[in-house]
Amino acid sequence: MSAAEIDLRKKLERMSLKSPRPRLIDVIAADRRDGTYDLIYVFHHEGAIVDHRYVVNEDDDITSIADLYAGALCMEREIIDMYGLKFNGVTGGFLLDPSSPKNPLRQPRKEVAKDV
Amino acid sequence: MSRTSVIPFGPQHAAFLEPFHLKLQVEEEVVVGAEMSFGYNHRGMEYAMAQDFKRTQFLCERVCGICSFHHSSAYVQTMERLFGIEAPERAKLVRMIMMEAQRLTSHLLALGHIAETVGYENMFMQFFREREEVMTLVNRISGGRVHYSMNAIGGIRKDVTYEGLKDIGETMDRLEPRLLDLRSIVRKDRTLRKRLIGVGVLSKEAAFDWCTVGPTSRGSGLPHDIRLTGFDGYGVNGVKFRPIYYDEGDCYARTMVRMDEVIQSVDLIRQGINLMRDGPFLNAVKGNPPAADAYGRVEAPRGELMYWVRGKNEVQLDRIKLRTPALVNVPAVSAMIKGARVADVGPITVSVDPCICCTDR
Repeated sequence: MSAAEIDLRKKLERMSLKSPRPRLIDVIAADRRDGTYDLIYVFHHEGAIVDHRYVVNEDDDITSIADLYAGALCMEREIIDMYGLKFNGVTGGFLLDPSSPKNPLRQPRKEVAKDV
Repeated sequence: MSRTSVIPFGPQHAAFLEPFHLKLQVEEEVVVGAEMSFGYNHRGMEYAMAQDFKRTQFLCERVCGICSFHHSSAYVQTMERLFGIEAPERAKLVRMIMMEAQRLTSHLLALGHIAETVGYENMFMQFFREREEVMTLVNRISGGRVHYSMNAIGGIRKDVTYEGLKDIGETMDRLEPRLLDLRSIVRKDRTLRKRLIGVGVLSKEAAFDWCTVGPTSRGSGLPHDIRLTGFDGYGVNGVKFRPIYYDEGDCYARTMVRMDEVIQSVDLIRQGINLMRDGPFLNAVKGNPPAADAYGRVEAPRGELMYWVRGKNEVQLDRIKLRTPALVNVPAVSAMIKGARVADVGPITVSVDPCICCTDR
């Protein structure tokens, strides 16, 4: 389990202590175009959106939160399909089949300045 | 000891309006497990919608034909937050009226569909007769039965005239007694009650765990409705609204939530008309979306619909993410059908009003 995941679980526990358990809305991934990805866990808590943002590498083993929220499984499977990130114990194939293009939402890497 | 068999259900099935596949594990007549597969309708909408933020206000309506106006409302609301502008009060009320009109068409379709799935053809036709009245109304107001194309970033593209508002009010007056009649039939009818009560139960805890939204969660006793917290047209303008919910968690509870919400939508449309005042309806935006991100949420007919947009100072968007209600409601069917009979799989699936266009995008 990475530091980010431990942090997320601690935050969720703290949120649950204060008031009713936060409701998971979505898990969002976005390409930062440098080999890392934004991973955003979006919750509805006390009448408003609360999000927790992490930056993960494409090779990181990310701990699934499907044990905390069963609904998270499909969101994580979609991220695997679209970005090729790895969630422990979760396989892709949610929207894409094996013959589909791989990681279609990955963007071209940022151009790095070259020596003249 | 009974042997476990596997029965394929879909992707093409008489009970489904759109394709998705259920692989049912059954012991005699009882479902003991299910695997679901999606993707038959995947069109890469998130990629396509990130290409040009101006065109996206039309493209986003094409994600789904039943809640198209909710998609465009969620998108323009998100973009307005990204640009830091607010739509005029009149535009918010027009959006609210049109969203409630579309909720009527969607819920009446879902109610007709559930009646048809349990073999009640006459009831199906009655729901669709009333739905047609709303479909022709929105066609007269917007020029389109399915895609209204009325929204613009900063307000609405075309205003609703005084005659249009009068037309909406008169249609609601004609519709309301007929909808009340249909509700009393749904409440009392033996066929519907026998087929739907106690079938496909989703407990309050399971509904929360599966992150369900809309009538699916409100049918399980969770009174969550974004109209209370999210969309600007509700609450702040003096619109009286209370979410409808039932505690039973079965197919009948989900059906009754929709049936009651149909009557509620008529009331909300009337409130919107009464609150409407003359004034501007569009605050035009200039330039490209800034390099920042924003959320936008509306209560679509099937539940909370969320957009997340990240701009990059260009016409192209860095990322647009849609969390449609069907994405969380449809997978919860696998929890509802465990222990159900094979004959009930159709009504249980239809009771969450599955939209595969929204799920697959």
